[in-house]
Amino acid sequence: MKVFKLFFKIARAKAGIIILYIGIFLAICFPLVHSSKDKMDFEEASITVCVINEDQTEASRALVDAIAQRNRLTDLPNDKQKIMDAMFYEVVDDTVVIKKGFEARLQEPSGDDEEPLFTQYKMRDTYQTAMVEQYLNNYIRFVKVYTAEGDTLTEACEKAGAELAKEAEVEIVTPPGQEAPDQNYTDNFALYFRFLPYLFIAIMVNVLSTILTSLNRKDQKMRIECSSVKMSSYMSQIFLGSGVFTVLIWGIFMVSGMIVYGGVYQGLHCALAVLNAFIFAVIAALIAILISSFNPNGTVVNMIAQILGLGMAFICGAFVPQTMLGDGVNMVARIFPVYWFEKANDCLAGIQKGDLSDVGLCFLAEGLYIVLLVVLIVILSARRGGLVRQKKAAAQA
Amino acid sequence: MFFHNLKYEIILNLRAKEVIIWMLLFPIALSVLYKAAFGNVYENGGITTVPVAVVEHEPDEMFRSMINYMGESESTVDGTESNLGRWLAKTMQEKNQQEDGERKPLFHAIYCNEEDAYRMLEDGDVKGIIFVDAPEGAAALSGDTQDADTSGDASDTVTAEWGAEAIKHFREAWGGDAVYENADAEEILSGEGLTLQDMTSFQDMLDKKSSLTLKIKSNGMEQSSIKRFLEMYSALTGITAHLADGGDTDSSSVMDAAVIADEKLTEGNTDPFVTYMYNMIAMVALFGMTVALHVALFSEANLSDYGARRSCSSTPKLTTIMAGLCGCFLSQILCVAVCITFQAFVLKVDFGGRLPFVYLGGALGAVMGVSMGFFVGAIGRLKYEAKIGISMAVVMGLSFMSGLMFSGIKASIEMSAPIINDLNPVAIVADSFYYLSVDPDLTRYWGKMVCVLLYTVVFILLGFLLTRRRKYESL
Repeated sequence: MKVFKLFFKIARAKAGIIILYIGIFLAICFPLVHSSKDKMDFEEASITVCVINEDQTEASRALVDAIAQRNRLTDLPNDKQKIMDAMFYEVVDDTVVIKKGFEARLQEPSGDDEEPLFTQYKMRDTYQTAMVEQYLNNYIRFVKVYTAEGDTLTEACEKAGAELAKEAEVEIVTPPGQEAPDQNYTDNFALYFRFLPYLFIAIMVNVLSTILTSLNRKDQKMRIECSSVKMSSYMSQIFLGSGVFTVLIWGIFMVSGMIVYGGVYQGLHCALAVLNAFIFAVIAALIAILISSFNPNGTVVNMIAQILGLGMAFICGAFVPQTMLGDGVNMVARIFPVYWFEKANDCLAGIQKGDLSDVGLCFLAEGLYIVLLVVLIVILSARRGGLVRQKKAAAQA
Repeated sequence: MFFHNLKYEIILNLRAKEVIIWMLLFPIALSVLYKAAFGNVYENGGITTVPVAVVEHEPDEMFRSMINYMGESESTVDGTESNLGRWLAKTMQEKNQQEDGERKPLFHAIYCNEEDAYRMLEDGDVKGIIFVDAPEGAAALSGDTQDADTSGDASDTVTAEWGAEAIKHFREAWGGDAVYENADAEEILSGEGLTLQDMTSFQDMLDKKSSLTLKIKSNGMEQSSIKRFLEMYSALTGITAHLADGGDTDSSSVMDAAVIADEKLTEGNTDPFVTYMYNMIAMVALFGMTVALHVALFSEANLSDYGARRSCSSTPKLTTIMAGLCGCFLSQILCVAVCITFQAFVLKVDFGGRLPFVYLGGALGAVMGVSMGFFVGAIGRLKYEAKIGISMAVVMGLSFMSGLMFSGIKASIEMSAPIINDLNPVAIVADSFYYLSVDPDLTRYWGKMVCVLLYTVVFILLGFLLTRRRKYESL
């Protein structure tokens, strides 16, 4: 098993890259996966609002409290550039300024040419800004109605806040005749699996391709060819090494996933997601082997890893959900294996429409990629073998 | 000799396979992929019309009118609209047109039966189903109405007067001008094309408040917006009921109060996905590190054969290094310019109309990247390949933190440790493009450019300090 040992000796030198990828991945995934509740509870999309209270009166403070009942408040300095930056990067969804004189104007409206009570800073129209706008309008309407009916401003503000704190009845349902979603594989946890294709491609291409390219170097190859190791034994050890390496990488990510999951995976959907990941790990390994067939240098391998990894991840729905991508992009993405991995993952998590037969179809598509890649690798190695034999024959002649 | 070296430095750089791959092909390929993935995500702005199914177990004209006011609707079930329903829809539509004829509909309501609604929810054709049911105690209400209907002429007069008053309020609140100042009840009703029976329905409608339930398949912003719409509707019907019963309350001042003044923060490009493109250019600029490594490495006799040959040549070391640096500056600026040109003119990325400053920012970023490469090349005795690997890892790491792969990461860093963004060279260059796009003036842009120049000066000085006055016992 000399070749097998050599394989892992080279792999050990690349352990740093693998640890780096896993470390960054877990650091990003852990908070994302644990950022929201179970999917069977309705969870209102939270709106982060910055309220700048220029009035600082009882009425304006009552309004701030009322807004805080339904939204997440955040503090920002009254500086337009800072507000703009926060809104551009979506740290804050909406910014409202309660203008000076708010309480006075509510108590004594000045008529038709009334000054606006609020300034709402906008970057672009969003659901969040529309919701906050509606909330403020209704709050003021209620306050005016109650004050007109004889309540004091304090009472009116209190009543308006209470009226607008009433929530509509919402229920998450499974349509009749449909399978209830598997609670063991939530859409939050599915995020962990969603990012895996990028990592598998990056690691496999960066590490496996580099190992195989090193072993395929002309001088190495010549040394191995004149050694006592038979070619068949050499090839089978390389094959075994690649297989063990693939299972090892897949295993590391599945175990890391359990840390994020909080225990051993439960349920059929989790099992299928793990299988989906395994199938894709094999695809990534075959892509790496295919790339190494061309004997690229380190820079080219690195570039291919980044372009394939980032490119497929963006276009096929790993970084941006498939539901957000345009029809044209999704159509083009079908030619890449990551698309089918992501589609199966989304179906399992209930993010996209689809049952187990659709998941099976995705597995089948991924299986076809495995067959295609194996055929390509065999053809390329056969051609290369043929060329080598031709050269040897020519040299002998 | 300087120009001779400069010429060959540029030729050497532009013929290097790595430079062509990393500085030209890689960013162009990635830009195309970014554009393909994000190009249409924000092309319609932040808001898209939310499709929603409505299942009416109990018809509610007011709710139907409000849905039409907020959006558009279609029906797949047979049903006849009442005279009152048509009047409400017409009044609300007039209000909608008065406010903003171009407003994008928030909802697309599909009236259908329960079975179709669930099918559409499962297929993802709608984001939620709104069930309109009779309110609790509906039987009692209808019983009261029947009593009122059969109680004779006196009751009719009460309903007509109440109805006329309610219509005046409703018109003031929703229909613009109040045109019935001195009209009696019958004139108002006939003017609106309504009957006493409609007024009885109107009274019931305001009194009853249908029970509205939202059923969804999964959480999300669109689902939350439907929920908030139901809450807003509930609040509005509450206000309308108060106004209808409120006697002297000035309805138009309550409903029409212009309480919010919108202030647009920028006229620039507010698409958050454009930051991926900014980061891409910044990354290419910083890849100058890998290009410039050889400037120091190939001038040190103990680190490379080139260095040994150059050490015994007659050309002064300063001239060789300066020519190498200038060559790297020029070739790297060229690569960044190609990347910006491709994005601006082929992919049509909106840089906010200040393209010359974008080129300037990119060029200074490239100079900073080269100076960092010169410094990294000068420190330690690591081999060229090892330093290339380190430089690539550093640039990709800095790009990651600046949001090249995941745009939210930069905002997270800004919230927890803003100093990291202030020091990250990739983030500095990317921010300068962002400021160019959104700021009306160039103050913050120049601030970032000063940081870039400071980095450049510091790294070049450190590089020179590390490479100067090296002597070797033997070569």
